[in-house]
Amino acid sequence: MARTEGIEGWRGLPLLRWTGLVDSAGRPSLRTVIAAVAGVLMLVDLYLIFMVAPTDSVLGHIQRVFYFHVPIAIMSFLAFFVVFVASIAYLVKRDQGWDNLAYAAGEVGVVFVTLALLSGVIWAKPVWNTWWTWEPRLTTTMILWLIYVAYLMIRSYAPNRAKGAIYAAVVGIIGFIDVPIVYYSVVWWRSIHPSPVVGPFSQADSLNGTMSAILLFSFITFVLFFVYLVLERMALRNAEDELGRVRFSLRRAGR
Amino acid sequence: MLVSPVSRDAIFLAKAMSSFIFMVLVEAALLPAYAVLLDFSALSFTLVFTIVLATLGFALVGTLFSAMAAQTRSREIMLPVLFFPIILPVIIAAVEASTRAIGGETFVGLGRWLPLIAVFDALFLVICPWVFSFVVEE
Repeated sequence: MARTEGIEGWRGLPLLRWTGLVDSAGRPSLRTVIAAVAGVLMLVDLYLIFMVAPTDSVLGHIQRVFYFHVPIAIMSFLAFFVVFVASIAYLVKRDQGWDNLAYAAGEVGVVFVTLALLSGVIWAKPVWNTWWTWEPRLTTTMILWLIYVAYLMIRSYAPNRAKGAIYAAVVGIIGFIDVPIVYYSVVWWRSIHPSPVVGPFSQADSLNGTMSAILLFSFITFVLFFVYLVLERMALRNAEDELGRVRFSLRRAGR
Repeated sequence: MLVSPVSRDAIFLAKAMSSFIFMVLVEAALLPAYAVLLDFSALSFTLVFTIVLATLGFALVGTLFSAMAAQTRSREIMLPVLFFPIILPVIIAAVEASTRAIGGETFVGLGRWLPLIAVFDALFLVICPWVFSFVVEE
Protein backbone atom coordinates (compact mmCIF):
# COMPACT_ATOMS: atom_id res chain seq x y z
CA MET A 1 0.00 0.00 0.00
CA ALA A 2 1.51 3.28 -1.16
CA ARG A 3 2.06 5.81 1.56
CA THR A 4 0.44 9.15 0.75
CA GLU A 5 2.71 12.15 0.85
CA GLY A 6 2.28 15.12 3.19
CA ILE A 7 -1.02 16.14 4.73
CA GLU A 8 -3.18 14.66 1.91
CA GLY A 9 -3.77 11.25 3.49
CA TRP A 10 -4.17 12.45 7.07
CA ARG A 11 -7.44 11.34 8.69
CA GLY A 12 -8.07 14.67 10.40
CA LEU A 13 -8.04 16.60 7.12
CA PRO A 14 -11.84 16.60 6.47
CA LEU A 15 -12.37 18.02 9.96
CA LEU A 16 -9.78 20.75 9.32
CA ARG A 17 -11.46 21.57 6.02
CA TRP A 18 -14.86 21.72 7.67
CA THR A 19 -13.63 24.18 10.29
CA GLY A 20 -12.18 26.30 7.51
CA LEU A 21 -8.66 26.16 8.96
CA VAL A 22 -7.38 24.73 5.65
CA ASP A 23 -8.83 25.16 2.16
CA SER A 24 -9.89 22.29 -0.12
CA ALA A 25 -6.33 21.79 -1.38
CA GLY A 26 -5.04 21.32 2.18
CA ARG A 27 -3.24 24.65 2.35
CA PRO A 28 -3.78 26.85 5.40
CA SER A 29 -6.52 29.45 4.82
CA LEU A 30 -5.98 33.21 5.15
CA ARG A 31 -7.66 33.07 8.56
CA THR A 32 -5.20 30.45 9.82
CA VAL A 33 -2.23 32.47 8.58
CA ILE A 34 -3.48 35.65 10.25
CA ALA A 35 -4.18 33.74 13.48
CA ALA A 36 -0.66 32.27 13.51
CA VAL A 37 1.05 35.61 12.76
CA ALA A 38 -1.12 37.45 15.32
CA GLY A 39 -0.31 34.78 17.93
CA VAL A 40 3.44 35.08 17.41
CA LEU A 41 3.30 38.89 17.35
CA MET A 42 1.24 38.88 20.56
CA LEU A 43 3.94 36.87 22.38
CA VAL A 44 6.66 39.22 21.08
CA ASP A 45 4.47 42.18 22.07
CA LEU A 46 4.10 40.86 25.63
CA TYR A 47 7.87 40.41 25.87
CA LEU A 48 8.48 43.94 24.55
CA ILE A 49 5.94 45.50 26.92
CA PHE A 50 7.09 43.77 30.11
CA MET A 51 10.82 43.24 29.44
CA VAL A 52 12.04 45.84 26.95
CA ALA A 53 9.88 48.94 27.49
CA PRO A 54 11.49 51.43 29.86
CA THR A 55 9.72 52.02 33.17
CA ASP A 56 7.97 55.39 33.18
CA SER A 57 9.79 57.94 35.35
CA VAL A 58 6.58 59.40 36.81
CA LEU A 59 3.93 56.66 36.70
CA GLY A 60 6.15 53.58 37.21
CA HIS A 61 5.16 50.09 36.07
CA ILE A 62 1.45 50.89 35.78
CA GLN A 63 2.28 52.91 32.66
CA ARG A 64 2.70 49.56 30.83
CA VAL A 65 -1.12 49.17 30.81
CA PHE A 66 -1.05 51.96 28.26
CA TYR A 67 0.47 49.67 25.55
CA PHE A 68 -2.72 47.57 25.76
CA HIS A 69 -5.19 50.32 26.55
CA VAL A 70 -4.48 52.63 23.60
CA PRO A 71 -4.44 50.00 20.79
CA ILE A 72 -7.56 48.32 22.23
CA ALA A 73 -9.44 51.64 22.40
CA ILE A 74 -8.43 52.55 18.84
CA MET A 75 -9.41 49.05 17.64
CA SER A 76 -12.88 49.53 19.13
CA PHE A 77 -13.21 52.77 17.12
CA LEU A 78 -12.04 50.84 14.04
CA ALA A 79 -14.60 48.12 14.77
CA PHE A 80 -17.43 50.65 14.98
CA PHE A 81 -16.23 52.27 11.76
CA VAL A 82 -16.43 48.85 10.09
CA VAL A 83 -19.96 48.45 11.52
CA PHE A 84 -20.87 51.89 10.12
CA VAL A 85 -19.57 51.19 6.61
CA ALA A 86 -20.95 47.62 6.49
CA SER A 87 -24.35 48.86 7.74
CA ILE A 88 -24.60 51.46 4.97
CA ALA A 89 -23.51 48.84 2.40
CA TYR A 90 -26.11 46.40 3.74
CA LEU A 91 -28.95 48.95 3.55
CA VAL A 92 -28.00 49.85 -0.02
CA LYS A 93 -27.08 46.43 -1.45
CA ARG A 94 -28.97 43.98 0.84
CA ASP A 95 -26.12 41.51 0.67
CA GLN A 96 -26.07 39.09 3.62
CA GLY A 97 -22.26 39.22 3.65
CA TRP A 98 -22.28 42.89 4.67
CA ASP A 99 -24.65 42.13 7.53
CA ASN A 100 -22.38 39.30 8.71
CA LEU A 101 -19.41 41.65 8.64
CA ALA A 102 -21.31 44.33 10.58
CA TYR A 103 -22.46 41.80 13.17
CA ALA A 104 -18.98 40.29 13.64
CA ALA A 105 -17.33 43.72 13.90
CA GLY A 106 -20.04 44.90 16.30
CA GLU A 107 -19.49 41.97 18.66
CA VAL A 108 -15.71 42.29 18.58
CA GLY A 109 -16.08 46.06 19.07
CA VAL A 110 -18.17 45.61 22.21
CA VAL A 111 -15.55 43.24 23.63
CA PHE A 112 -12.78 45.72 22.80
CA VAL A 113 -14.53 48.75 24.26
CA THR A 114 -15.24 46.72 27.41
CA LEU A 115 -11.54 45.83 27.62
CA ALA A 116 -10.60 49.48 27.04
CA LEU A 117 -12.85 50.53 29.94
CA LEU A 118 -11.47 47.76 32.19
CA SER A 119 -7.82 48.48 31.40
CA GLY A 120 -8.55 52.17 31.95
CA VAL A 121 -10.06 51.39 35.35
CA ILE A 122 -6.95 49.38 36.31
CA TRP A 123 -4.75 52.30 35.26
CA ALA A 124 -6.92 54.92 36.97
CA LYS A 125 -6.85 53.38 40.46
CA PRO A 126 -3.12 53.97 41.19
CA VAL A 127 -2.75 57.11 39.04
CA TRP A 128 -5.94 59.06 39.81
CA ASN A 129 -6.55 57.26 43.13
CA THR A 130 -10.08 56.33 42.02
CA TRP A 131 -11.55 53.51 39.93
CA TRP A 132 -13.98 55.69 38.04
CA THR A 133 -14.72 59.37 37.64
CA TRP A 134 -17.41 61.10 35.58
CA GLU A 135 -14.99 62.80 33.26
CA PRO A 136 -15.78 63.52 29.55
CA ARG A 137 -13.66 60.73 28.03
CA LEU A 138 -14.91 58.08 30.45
CA THR A 139 -18.52 59.20 30.20
CA THR A 140 -18.56 59.25 26.39
CA THR A 141 -16.85 55.84 26.26
CA MET A 142 -19.50 54.50 28.64
CA ILE A 143 -22.20 55.89 26.28
CA LEU A 144 -20.44 54.20 23.36
CA TRP A 145 -20.56 50.90 25.25
CA LEU A 146 -24.30 51.33 25.87
CA ILE A 147 -25.00 52.15 22.19
CA TYR A 148 -23.29 49.03 20.87
CA VAL A 149 -24.79 46.76 23.53
CA ALA A 150 -28.16 48.07 22.26
CA TYR A 151 -26.88 47.34 18.73
CA LEU A 152 -26.41 43.67 19.67
CA MET A 153 -29.72 43.53 21.57
CA ILE A 154 -31.93 44.93 18.77
CA ARG A 155 -31.24 41.90 16.56
CA SER A 156 -32.62 39.40 19.01
CA TYR A 157 -35.67 41.56 19.82
CA ALA A 158 -36.68 42.16 16.19
CA PRO A 159 -39.75 40.31 14.79
CA ASN A 160 -37.62 38.37 12.29
CA ARG A 161 -34.05 38.08 11.14
CA ALA A 162 -34.29 40.37 8.09
CA LYS A 163 -35.90 43.13 10.18
CA GLY A 164 -33.26 42.62 12.86
CA ALA A 165 -30.51 43.16 10.32
CA ILE A 166 -32.11 46.41 9.09
CA TYR A 167 -32.76 47.74 12.60
CA ALA A 168 -29.22 46.89 13.64
CA ALA A 169 -27.87 48.69 10.56
CA VAL A 170 -29.87 51.79 11.55
CA VAL A 171 -28.45 51.71 15.08
CA GLY A 172 -24.97 51.09 13.66
CA ILE A 173 -25.21 54.20 11.48
CA ILE A 174 -26.76 56.56 14.05
CA GLY A 175 -24.53 55.23 16.84
CA PHE A 176 -21.34 55.99 14.93
CA ILE A 177 -22.00 59.74 15.35
CA ASP A 178 -20.81 59.30 18.91
CA VAL A 179 -17.39 57.85 18.02
CA PRO A 180 -15.71 61.10 16.86
CA ILE A 181 -17.09 62.79 19.98
CA VAL A 182 -15.37 60.21 22.17
CA TYR A 183 -12.08 60.84 20.40
CA TYR A 184 -12.35 64.64 20.50
CA SER A 185 -13.76 64.75 24.06
CA VAL A 186 -10.22 64.93 25.42
CA VAL A 187 -9.29 67.74 23.06
CA TRP A 188 -12.50 69.77 23.49
CA TRP A 189 -12.84 69.51 27.25
CA ARG A 190 -9.41 69.60 28.85
CA SER A 191 -9.60 67.26 31.79
CA ILE A 192 -7.60 64.66 33.69
CA HIS A 193 -7.56 62.01 30.95
CA PRO A 194 -4.23 62.15 29.03
CA SER A 195 -4.30 63.65 25.53
CA PRO A 196 -4.42 61.37 22.49
CA VAL A 197 -1.05 59.90 21.51
CA VAL A 198 -2.16 59.02 17.98
CA GLY A 199 -4.19 60.95 15.45
CA PRO A 200 -4.43 64.59 14.39
CA PHE A 201 -4.36 66.09 17.90
CA SER A 202 -1.59 63.94 19.36
CA GLN A 203 1.25 65.35 21.37
CA ALA A 204 4.43 64.24 19.68
CA ASP A 205 6.77 64.71 22.64
CA SER A 206 4.82 62.71 25.24
CA LEU A 207 6.67 59.45 24.49
CA ASN A 208 10.34 58.63 23.94
CA GLY A 209 11.63 56.65 20.94
CA THR A 210 11.50 53.13 22.42
CA MET A 211 8.04 53.73 23.86
CA SER A 212 6.51 54.91 20.59
CA ALA A 213 8.19 52.05 18.69
CA ILE A 214 6.68 49.49 21.09
CA LEU A 215 3.29 51.24 20.89
CA LEU A 216 3.46 50.99 17.09
CA PHE A 217 4.31 47.29 17.35
CA SER A 218 1.41 46.83 19.74
CA PHE A 219 -0.87 48.54 17.23
CA ILE A 220 0.14 46.20 14.40
CA THR A 221 -0.38 43.20 16.69
CA PHE A 222 -3.85 44.32 17.73
CA VAL A 223 -4.90 45.17 14.15
CA LEU A 224 -4.04 41.59 13.09
CA PHE A 225 -5.71 40.19 16.21
CA PHE A 226 -8.82 42.25 15.43
CA VAL A 227 -8.93 41.10 11.79
CA TYR A 228 -8.57 37.49 12.92
CA LEU A 229 -11.40 37.80 15.48
CA VAL A 230 -13.75 39.35 12.91
CA LEU A 231 -12.95 36.66 10.31
CA GLU A 232 -13.42 33.91 12.90
CA ARG A 233 -16.76 35.36 14.04
CA MET A 234 -17.96 35.64 10.43
CA ALA A 235 -17.01 32.03 9.75
CA LEU A 236 -18.83 30.99 12.94
CA ARG A 237 -21.93 32.88 11.85
CA ASN A 238 -21.84 31.21 8.44
CA ALA A 239 -21.61 27.83 10.21
CA GLU A 240 -24.60 28.79 12.40
CA ASP A 241 -26.62 29.70 9.29
CA GLU A 242 -25.68 26.42 7.63
CA LEU A 243 -26.70 24.48 10.74
CA GLY A 244 -30.01 26.35 10.78
CA ARG A 245 -30.66 25.40 7.15
CA VAL A 246 -29.83 21.74 7.80
CA ARG A 247 -32.11 21.68 10.82
CA PHE A 248 -34.89 23.35 8.82
CA SER A 249 -34.72 20.87 5.95
CA LEU A 250 -34.57 17.93 8.40
CA ARG A 251 -37.70 19.19 10.13
CA ARG A 252 -39.47 19.51 6.79
CA ALA A 253 -38.48 15.94 5.96
CA GLY A 254 -40.29 14.94 9.16
CA ARG A 255 -37.40 13.59 11.19
CA MET B 1 -50.21 56.17 6.52
CA LEU B 2 -47.59 54.20 4.59
CA VAL B 3 -49.97 53.55 1.67
CA SER B 4 -50.49 57.28 1.07
CA PRO B 5 -48.73 58.49 -2.10
CA VAL B 6 -46.09 60.66 -0.41
CA SER B 7 -42.41 59.97 0.11
CA ARG B 8 -41.22 58.28 3.30
CA ASP B 9 -39.07 61.32 4.08
CA ALA B 10 -42.20 63.49 4.19
CA ILE B 11 -43.92 61.05 6.55
CA PHE B 12 -40.92 60.99 8.83
CA LEU B 13 -40.52 64.77 8.90
CA ALA B 14 -44.25 65.22 9.52
CA LYS B 15 -44.15 62.79 12.45
CA ALA B 16 -41.02 64.43 13.85
CA MET B 17 -42.40 67.96 13.43
CA SER B 18 -45.68 67.10 15.14
CA SER B 19 -43.89 65.69 18.19
CA PHE B 20 -41.48 68.64 18.08
CA ILE B 21 -44.34 71.16 18.12
CA PHE B 22 -46.10 69.24 20.89
CA MET B 23 -42.94 69.20 23.04
CA VAL B 24 -42.31 72.90 22.43
CA LEU B 25 -45.89 73.70 23.54
CA VAL B 26 -45.41 71.70 26.75
CA GLU B 27 -42.09 73.45 27.35
CA ALA B 28 -43.68 76.85 26.72
CA ALA B 29 -46.15 76.05 29.50
CA LEU B 30 -43.54 74.58 31.88
CA LEU B 31 -40.78 77.14 31.46
CA PRO B 32 -42.63 80.11 33.05
CA ALA B 33 -43.82 77.83 35.85
CA TYR B 34 -40.28 76.68 36.64
CA ALA B 35 -38.98 80.23 36.24
CA VAL B 36 -41.37 81.37 38.99
CA LEU B 37 -40.77 78.38 41.26
CA LEU B 38 -36.98 78.31 40.95
CA ASP B 39 -36.60 82.07 40.57
CA PHE B 40 -34.69 82.60 37.31
CA SER B 41 -35.39 84.65 34.22
CA ALA B 42 -37.02 82.57 31.46
CA LEU B 43 -36.87 85.52 29.05
CA SER B 44 -33.33 84.78 27.95
CA PHE B 45 -32.86 84.24 24.24
CA THR B 46 -29.90 81.87 24.78
CA LEU B 47 -31.97 79.63 27.08
CA VAL B 48 -34.92 79.44 24.66
CA PHE B 49 -32.56 78.79 21.74
CA THR B 50 -30.84 75.95 23.63
CA ILE B 51 -34.19 74.39 24.54
CA VAL B 52 -35.50 74.53 20.96
CA LEU B 53 -32.31 73.03 19.49
CA ALA B 54 -32.22 70.18 22.01
CA THR B 55 -35.94 69.48 21.53
CA LEU B 56 -35.41 69.21 17.76
CA GLY B 57 -32.73 66.53 18.16
CA PHE B 58 -34.85 64.72 20.74
CA ALA B 59 -37.90 64.69 18.42
CA LEU B 60 -35.93 63.46 15.38
CA VAL B 61 -34.21 60.53 17.09
CA GLY B 62 -37.30 59.75 19.17
CA THR B 63 -39.48 59.45 16.08
CA LEU B 64 -37.03 57.12 14.35
CA PHE B 65 -36.52 54.80 17.30
CA SER B 66 -40.17 54.69 18.32
CA ALA B 67 -41.03 53.54 14.78
CA MET B 68 -38.39 50.84 15.19
CA ALA B 69 -39.16 49.84 18.78
CA ALA B 70 -42.91 49.62 18.06
CA GLN B 71 -42.24 46.54 15.92
CA THR B 72 -39.92 44.75 18.36
CA ARG B 73 -40.81 42.40 21.17
CA SER B 74 -40.97 44.00 24.65
CA ARG B 75 -41.02 47.47 23.12
CA GLU B 76 -41.27 49.19 26.53
CA ILE B 77 -37.72 48.00 27.24
CA MET B 78 -36.28 48.39 23.74
CA LEU B 79 -37.17 52.06 23.24
CA PRO B 80 -35.21 53.46 26.22
CA VAL B 81 -32.33 51.00 25.63
CA LEU B 82 -31.94 52.33 22.07
CA PHE B 83 -32.94 55.92 22.58
CA PHE B 84 -31.17 56.81 25.81
CA PRO B 85 -27.51 56.26 24.83
CA ILE B 86 -27.91 57.88 21.40
CA ILE B 87 -29.54 61.03 22.74
CA LEU B 88 -27.37 61.26 25.87
CA PRO B 89 -24.69 63.52 24.30
CA VAL B 90 -27.43 65.98 23.29
CA ILE B 91 -28.91 65.91 26.80
CA ILE B 92 -25.52 66.45 28.45
CA ALA B 93 -24.76 69.35 26.09
CA ALA B 94 -28.23 70.85 26.67
CA VAL B 95 -27.84 70.63 30.46
CA GLU B 96 -24.42 72.32 30.31
CA ALA B 97 -25.60 75.03 27.90
CA SER B 98 -28.81 75.83 29.76
CA THR B 99 -26.95 75.96 33.10
CA ARG B 100 -24.75 78.67 31.63
CA ALA B 101 -27.70 80.40 29.93
CA ILE B 102 -29.60 80.60 33.24
CA GLY B 103 -26.44 81.98 34.82
CA GLY B 104 -26.73 84.90 32.40
CA GLU B 105 -24.00 84.00 29.94
CA THR B 106 -24.15 85.19 26.31
CA PHE B 107 -23.76 82.91 23.26
CA VAL B 108 -19.99 83.12 23.54
CA GLY B 109 -20.19 82.01 27.17
CA LEU B 110 -22.00 78.82 26.21
CA GLY B 111 -18.77 77.58 24.66
CA ARG B 112 -18.84 74.46 22.51
CA TRP B 113 -22.07 73.09 23.94
CA LEU B 114 -24.47 74.92 21.64
CA PRO B 115 -22.54 74.12 18.42
CA LEU B 116 -22.38 70.50 19.60
CA ILE B 117 -26.18 70.30 19.82
CA ALA B 118 -26.45 72.01 16.42
CA VAL B 119 -24.05 69.48 14.84
CA PHE B 120 -26.06 66.58 16.28
CA ASP B 121 -29.31 68.13 15.00
CA ALA B 122 -27.86 68.58 11.51
CA LEU B 123 -26.61 64.96 11.40
CA PHE B 124 -29.92 63.61 12.67
CA LEU B 125 -31.81 65.74 10.12
CA VAL B 126 -29.81 64.15 7.31
CA ILE B 127 -29.54 60.55 8.53
CA CYS B 128 -32.89 59.89 10.24
CA PRO B 129 -35.21 60.49 7.22
CA TRP B 130 -32.91 58.34 5.07
CA VAL B 131 -32.87 55.32 7.41
CA PHE B 132 -36.56 55.74 8.30
CA SER B 133 -37.54 54.54 4.79
CA PHE B 134 -35.71 51.26 5.50
CA VAL B 135 -37.30 50.85 8.93
CA VAL B 136 -40.91 51.09 7.72
CA GLU B 137 -40.57 49.12 4.49
CA GLU B 138 -42.40 45.79 4.29
